[in-house]
Amino acid sequence: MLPQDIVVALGEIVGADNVLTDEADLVCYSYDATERWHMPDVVAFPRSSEEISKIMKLANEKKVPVTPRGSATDLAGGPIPIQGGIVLDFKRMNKILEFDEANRVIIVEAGLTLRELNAFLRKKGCYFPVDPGSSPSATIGGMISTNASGMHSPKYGTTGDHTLGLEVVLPTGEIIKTGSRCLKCVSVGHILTRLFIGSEGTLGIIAKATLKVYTPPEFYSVAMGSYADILAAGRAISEVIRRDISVSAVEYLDGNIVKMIRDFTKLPLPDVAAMVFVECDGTKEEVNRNLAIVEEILKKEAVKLEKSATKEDADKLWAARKAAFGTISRLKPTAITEDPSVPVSKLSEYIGRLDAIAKKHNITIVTYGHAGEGNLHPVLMVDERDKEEFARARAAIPDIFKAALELGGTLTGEHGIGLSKADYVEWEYGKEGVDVVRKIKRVLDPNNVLNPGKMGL
Amino acid sequence: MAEIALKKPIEKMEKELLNCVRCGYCLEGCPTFEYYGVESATARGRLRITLSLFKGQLGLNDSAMKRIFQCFFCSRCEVSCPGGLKIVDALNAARVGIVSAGKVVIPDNLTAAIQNLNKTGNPFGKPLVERARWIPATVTISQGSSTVYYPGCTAAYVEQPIAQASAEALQASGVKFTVLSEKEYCCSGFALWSGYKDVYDDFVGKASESFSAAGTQELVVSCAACYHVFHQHLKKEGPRVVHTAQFFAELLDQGKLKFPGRFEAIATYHDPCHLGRQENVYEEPRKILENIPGLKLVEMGRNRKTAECCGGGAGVAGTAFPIPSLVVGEGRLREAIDVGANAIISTCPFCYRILTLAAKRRRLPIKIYDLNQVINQASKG
Repeated sequence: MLPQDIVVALGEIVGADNVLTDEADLVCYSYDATERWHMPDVVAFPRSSEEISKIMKLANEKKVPVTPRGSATDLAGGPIPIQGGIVLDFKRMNKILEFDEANRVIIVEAGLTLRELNAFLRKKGCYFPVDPGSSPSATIGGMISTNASGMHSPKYGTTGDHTLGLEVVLPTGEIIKTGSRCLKCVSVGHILTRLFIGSEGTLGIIAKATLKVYTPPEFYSVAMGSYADILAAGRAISEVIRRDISVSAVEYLDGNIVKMIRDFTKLPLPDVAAMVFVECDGTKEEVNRNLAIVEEILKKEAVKLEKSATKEDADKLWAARKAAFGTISRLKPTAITEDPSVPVSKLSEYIGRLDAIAKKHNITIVTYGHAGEGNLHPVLMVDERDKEEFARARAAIPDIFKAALELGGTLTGEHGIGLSKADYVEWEYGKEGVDVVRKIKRVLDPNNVLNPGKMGL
Repeated sequence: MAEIALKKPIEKMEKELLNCVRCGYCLEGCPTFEYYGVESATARGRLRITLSLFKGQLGLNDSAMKRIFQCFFCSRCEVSCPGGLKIVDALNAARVGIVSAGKVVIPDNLTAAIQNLNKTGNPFGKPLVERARWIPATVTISQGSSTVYYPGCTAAYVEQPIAQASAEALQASGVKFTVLSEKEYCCSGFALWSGYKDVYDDFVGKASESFSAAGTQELVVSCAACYHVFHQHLKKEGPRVVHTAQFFAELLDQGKLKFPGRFEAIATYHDPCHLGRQENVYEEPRKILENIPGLKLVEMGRNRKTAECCGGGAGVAGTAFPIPSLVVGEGRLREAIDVGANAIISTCPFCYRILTLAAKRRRLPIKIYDLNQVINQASKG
């Protein structure tokens, strides 16, 4: 429990109405979308960079941990206040500060949600193209801090790819500006904006962001292939990527999850080993041209191929893929979702390894996800109330990471390191590699008050 | 003992609580999250508070109770929840547990309304003898008819023009009906959603008996909340329960409801939570409105499944936390004004009440109607 003088000081900075100390409120700031949790001591709602700056100075003076939090939809434990202390909630920093229509640039506060951003942009004929699964609630600050991406990353990349500049409050309270609203900017040599993208709130607190925005594609269409053999599905995906076709999404569902979705949603899905969804977007002419090539590739080994003619048809085909998360959450509430990426050419081998890991540990693993980037989500279907099963699942996780790394992959494609993967970072980058990040952290955060315990820092 | 009483109702909902994966989808469109701006005012937060109470990780203090009771029970979160959780049922179990544990529900006006219900048979504390005073001289009640019109407490005692318009419009369509007057019991959904399940069980049981005793074959209800309660409670056996919006849509199809008159308005339809999300009745009221001469129907951006709550919050939030209710109601009215509506029409007397109060509070340029009032005006030549 924090000394009362710190709570009083926080109230003086942000206003007493912008501080929560009651246990019932605090328990709601103890979690994210992982199974872990830890209570904070106090929650504060800053309204400006200046207030955040004062809070960080206070935190350094009193040596109190500070954990920034967007909407806490994180799947790696990033916003969990694992050492207690202060949680900063950005709900009251959600303004659109400037829309530079001529340059297709928007400047926003970190607490703005992607949904709010796109609702504004839609009226201007624009949109922000990155669409993480948590897009109804995800905040821009959280998306930048985790370098979030989603189903459309084969074409639109990650949040960081569209982030031109930031206003960041450093762990010691200084307010700095990085980047600019220009597409090209190397004014200080180092691209400092990139230092903070994906840093999970460990190196600085993102207060404002300058983002590039775009005109939405006029049309999109989907081809959906069903396969009797997982390896055939993997081959089709690899071929789509190898041919370098302009695709906006390539998604995968394994047979287990197809069955679960069919049972849960009653969608008319086939009884197959795997399904592959490929979307193309752009002008109608471009889409039809690209999707025809995709169709040709998918149908080589598919037992069934469907293709949409209209956007409505496409949405119907997408329905099965989009039901995956809900189905899993309904069937196994404490299912553990991992997200290593492997080179797309290694997908089939990776899927085979996941199958062997499931057998070795006697657990069910279902797999779905963003096959176009080799970023699948193996989901360990467990219930935390079954202690033995849960322990077996925990033991299987390192094996999944090892498999991905051995295939030339990476620990996490989009969820981040947070708490969940902190113990494994050295496996990928070695002690020397991680030490570079530790050194940067020490320089910027000498008292280790900003989001301590995350990313192994 | 108090702890056991608290946990017993929650235990039945444990799976729903554990099934929440905290994805945060429920934050979208949650009216209390928009108003209070804190995680503890979201479905995800409230489920966690409930789970923590159940596991004994959190003590039952005023703040926990307040967060549980602030929820509007609008079920907007259930539309977004990818796992299809029964969030309102889980939170209602928490309310029942809190009340069973003997904790005084905050604030006092909620307990006062429950006391009124116990004492007078309605949450407003009005004398039972006044229950049928709304019946206008223009309406002939067909004693003994197997079709019963049920106005509910709000229309019977407070928003009487709605009950009067419903009855007149039924009569104009040639429907012979009766009302149970002093033998009419409160649906007591208000008690259930306030956590007083024993009060609810008592009243809804008596109401069911009164329908049987009157030989009711068809129960026509003009209140969305009462309709929801009776439609669910009498599902297995009892009379056919129908909302006036559905009933008049049928009469329209049969050519028995005619609109010789006009209703001049650019109107939008507000889906009450209990008729829309809870009962999936979306199209019937719209169909009626589209057939009314002079009325141009426009839709708000948030309609049908994603409709914003009026702020009434199943009567509970509107009674216990009036200011948030009025602010949310004001937001709904502004949404209607933004799409060019000069009238907003609902199918629930409680929506009508909250929206009317919210409009008056800010002197907003929009008129509030119940669908039955619109039908009644247009049925007159």
